[in-house]
Amino acid sequence: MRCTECESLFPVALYEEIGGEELQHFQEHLAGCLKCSADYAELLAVRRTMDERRRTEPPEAFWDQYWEQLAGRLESAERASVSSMPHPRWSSWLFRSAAAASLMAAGIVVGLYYARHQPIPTAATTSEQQPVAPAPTPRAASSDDRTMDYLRRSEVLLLGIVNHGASETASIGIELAREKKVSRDLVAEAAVLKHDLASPEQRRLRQLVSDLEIILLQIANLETQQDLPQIELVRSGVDRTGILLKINVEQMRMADRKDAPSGQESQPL
Amino acid sequence: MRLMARDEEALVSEAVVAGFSTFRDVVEAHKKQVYYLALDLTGNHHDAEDLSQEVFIKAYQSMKDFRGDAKLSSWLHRITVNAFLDSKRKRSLRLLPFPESRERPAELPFRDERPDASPDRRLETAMIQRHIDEALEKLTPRERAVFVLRHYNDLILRDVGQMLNISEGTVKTLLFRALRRLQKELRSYRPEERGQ
Repeated sequence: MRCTECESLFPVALYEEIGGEELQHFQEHLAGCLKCSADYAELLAVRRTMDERRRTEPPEAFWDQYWEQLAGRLESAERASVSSMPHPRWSSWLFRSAAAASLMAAGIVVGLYYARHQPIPTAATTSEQQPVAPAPTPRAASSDDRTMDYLRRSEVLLLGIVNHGASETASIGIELAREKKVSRDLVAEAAVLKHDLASPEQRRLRQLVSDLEIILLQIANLETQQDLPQIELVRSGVDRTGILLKINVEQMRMADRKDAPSGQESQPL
Repeated sequence: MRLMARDEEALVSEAVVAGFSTFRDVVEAHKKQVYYLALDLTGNHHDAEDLSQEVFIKAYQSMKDFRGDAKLSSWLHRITVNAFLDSKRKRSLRLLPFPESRERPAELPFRDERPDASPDRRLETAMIQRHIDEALEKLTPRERAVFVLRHYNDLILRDVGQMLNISEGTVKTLLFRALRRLQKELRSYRPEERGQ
């Protein structure tokens, strides 16, 4: 066996998918070739190193909420596929004609009613009838408010952890229980919030909540005492992702949106 | 409803007929398997969550295409790998990605949960995990898919080829390239070179 042939057998040999005569020739070559045996030994070491990888287990809450999250996405996907389904031409005509006829009939009835019952408008009543901007839907308003509140609480929590001085770090274990509980609550809320932040213009907010969720999970998983390396990891995570800055930017954006007159959206930065 | 007593094919046909309530059984039975494969492929929780849910949506929408001759779990594996490769293809086609999308999402680091693990040992374990993850990031999507399926999911090379619709020879080539790349990336982090 030549070295190139031997090398081509490395993958199958590494994963023990070689046998019989082929294995025998392979082993004989390795025994007599220093270069190939050293090369193969290195790849075996790589395999062993890759065995050291451990998957990060998501918390139980993730599995508990998995179906609810998926069901929401399934519903949207179903709606999208139903609305994109082509209708037969005749039924579409029939539907449009019927809709137009009912709209016309409704218009006539309303017109007749008002012609008979509407009093002549006075100056007082006309001044009261100012154009009113369309009110935001309760769901949208509440999701904005809840996101604001969520970001504020997360910010306070993260600032608390980041601003602990080195001397305080030693005694951080005492207060950790409260911080962990707040984190757990926020992680639980994140799932619902992400589901509500479904529109394309809320993509950035959804991403921010997801990023926060990961850091909050780290905090929720801290051990009550002597988890200093993990606290350092949380701090460096906060630092590396610039999450506090992102929270501030989103808070400013949301405040702008709230202050802006209706129909005038603030421009993305 | 107990899944254990059923055979998977019957479960799927029922899911097609009955809709969500039975499909939920399919999800509950396979969510971990699909999520962990997605995690191996993507390398982070956020993308794995997204990918695994996308897999179940695709599975729900194409239940009628499921052929009873394959195991349901293999079918879901195949959807997972293809969805991953598709997403990578689409991402590489984007000319101007958002700045955020270039950042690797923050990931919960692996924690050494052994009760006797010292803080030093834990830090070292976390570092090794990071280097392994970074080395995996260097693989092309196809190399990563082949490596993950063979190394972490114990699929034999022939099955990997069938799953990816490529020949066994191509699988071997991709696996070899993946191993060489990992060898290069991990040169300074292997235990014997750390003096252990």
